[in-house]
Amino acid sequence: MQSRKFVFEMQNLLGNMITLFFGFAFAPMMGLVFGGSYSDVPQALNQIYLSFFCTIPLSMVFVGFSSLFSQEMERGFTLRAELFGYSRLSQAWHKFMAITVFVILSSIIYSYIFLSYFKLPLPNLSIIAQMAIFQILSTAIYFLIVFLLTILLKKFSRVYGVAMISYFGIMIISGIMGNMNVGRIGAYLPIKMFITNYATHLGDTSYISGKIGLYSLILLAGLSMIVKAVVGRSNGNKHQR
Amino acid sequence: MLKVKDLSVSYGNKVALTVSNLEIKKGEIIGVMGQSGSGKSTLVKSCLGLIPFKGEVIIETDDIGVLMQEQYYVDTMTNQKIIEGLLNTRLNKDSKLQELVDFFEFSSQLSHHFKNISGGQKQRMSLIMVLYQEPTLLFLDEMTTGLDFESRQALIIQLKAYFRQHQTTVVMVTHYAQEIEQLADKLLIIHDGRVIAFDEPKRLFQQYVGYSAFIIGNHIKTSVKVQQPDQEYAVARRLISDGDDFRRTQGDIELVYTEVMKGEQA
Ligand SMILES: Nc1ncnc2c1ncn2[C@@H]1O[C@H](COP(=O)(O)OP(=O)(O)O)[C@@H](O)[C@H]1O
Ligand SMILES: [Mg+2]
Repeated sequence: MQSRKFVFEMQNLLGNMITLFFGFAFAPMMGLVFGGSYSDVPQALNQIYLSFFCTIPLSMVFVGFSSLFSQEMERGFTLRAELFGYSRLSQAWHKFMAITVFVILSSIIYSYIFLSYFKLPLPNLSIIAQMAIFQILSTAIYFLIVFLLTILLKKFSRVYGVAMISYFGIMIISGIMGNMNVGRIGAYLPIKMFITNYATHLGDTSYISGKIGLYSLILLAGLSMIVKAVVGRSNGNKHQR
Repeated sequence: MLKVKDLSVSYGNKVALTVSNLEIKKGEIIGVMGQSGSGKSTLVKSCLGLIPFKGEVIIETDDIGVLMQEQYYVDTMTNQKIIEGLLNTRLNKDSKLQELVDFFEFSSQLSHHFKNISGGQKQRMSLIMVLYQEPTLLFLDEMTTGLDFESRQALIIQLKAYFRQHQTTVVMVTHYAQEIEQLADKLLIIHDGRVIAFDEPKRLFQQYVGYSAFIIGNHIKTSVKVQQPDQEYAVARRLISDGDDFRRTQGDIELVYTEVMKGEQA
């Protein structure tokens, strides 16, 4: 990792209002609003806490990053940076690192606001670690999806359209927004699994859910392979020596 | 330095550029002229491998720099941060970068956002980053289009000094004959996706204009071509007695360009 490029990508995110609002303000705002009507049902509060916890990487990547990156792609910044020796994969890597830092930071701020507002105890340490891992894996999965979308669709309007549909689609299917009944499929959606599994175990010392992590890793591996293939192909017409 | 053979570039099924043979030697500065849409940017992009092409492009270096026709950097931070990020360095710890910033007198622009600086300054910012890489082969695509006369002039003078110092091989696309006059060793003219002239301006002048020419009233369209040295005095005497303002030239690029294009369009 190159430090100035990491700083560059951090500043790039920091300068983007959409990323700041949806990445940092959306989850606590929604959490407080929805939590307000269940303020004395701990089980429901846990569920709401985890639901909007899950929206942090989702909003950061699908709403913030997708707008930023697709505009860079459309206006040729991605290519320009490549010509300065900042390769596409390196750009992806530094952007991902910066977003992950933002997601972790936002998750901490959100947790602090939500838990202290509703006077809930801090989850058990081993649960916190699992939540962090889930958050990072989710960020990576969403990131690869949006990165791929942008490389394939190129234009801001197209990328953003698809990203927004996916954003709301994922929130609806996972039951964060509205109450659509997805039946048994719900049990296999990582976010839904995460929320229902952990809502009852936030205070447990011995609870470990390997299934969610495994799911995420498989998804991640598949996506990485696709991205590698696509990025490799789109760089395929370099000058011949 | 750069060899192109049987190059053919198509967009969809429309052929935009064909070049059968082109060779650029180390240290040469090539000026590329041609109407909008004639294929100049296509030539640059195919040399860089940015678009698919048929044929052969052989480049004898990996240190290639390019200033693309379109300029855009992110709006989320100041110019200094963009430069530091893309070059992965710190200005105050990097004397090479400081020298370039001083050379192009850019320091007053560092704290601004890219979208708020003038066209000439935008080009300088890109040039600083391109030249920081110390390219041995440099492509400049319409670097000065849209700049006012003074900015263009200032930039060209700076670049001339830089190229002389660094022995850079340059392919420079421009609409301004004057820039070719000041910088280029050779002129390459593209028309309708084909190279219709490529040589030293002097030789193109001899081929397309003749021995010399008198440009009357500073209009290229009203010029008198002279084929033999001993005809010059007669022409000059006639122009003087007509009371015309005129200037004599043996290498005016705009005239060469106009004559080459005339032959093409006739
Ligand atoms: N990406 C593209 N898709 C389709 N046609 C293109 C594309 N880029 C350029 N062209 C066409 O190819 C021709 C040459 O373009 P270009 O090389 O940009 O010209 P110039 O730089 O000389 O103005 C033009 O007719 C232009 O419309
Ligand atoms: Mg062009």
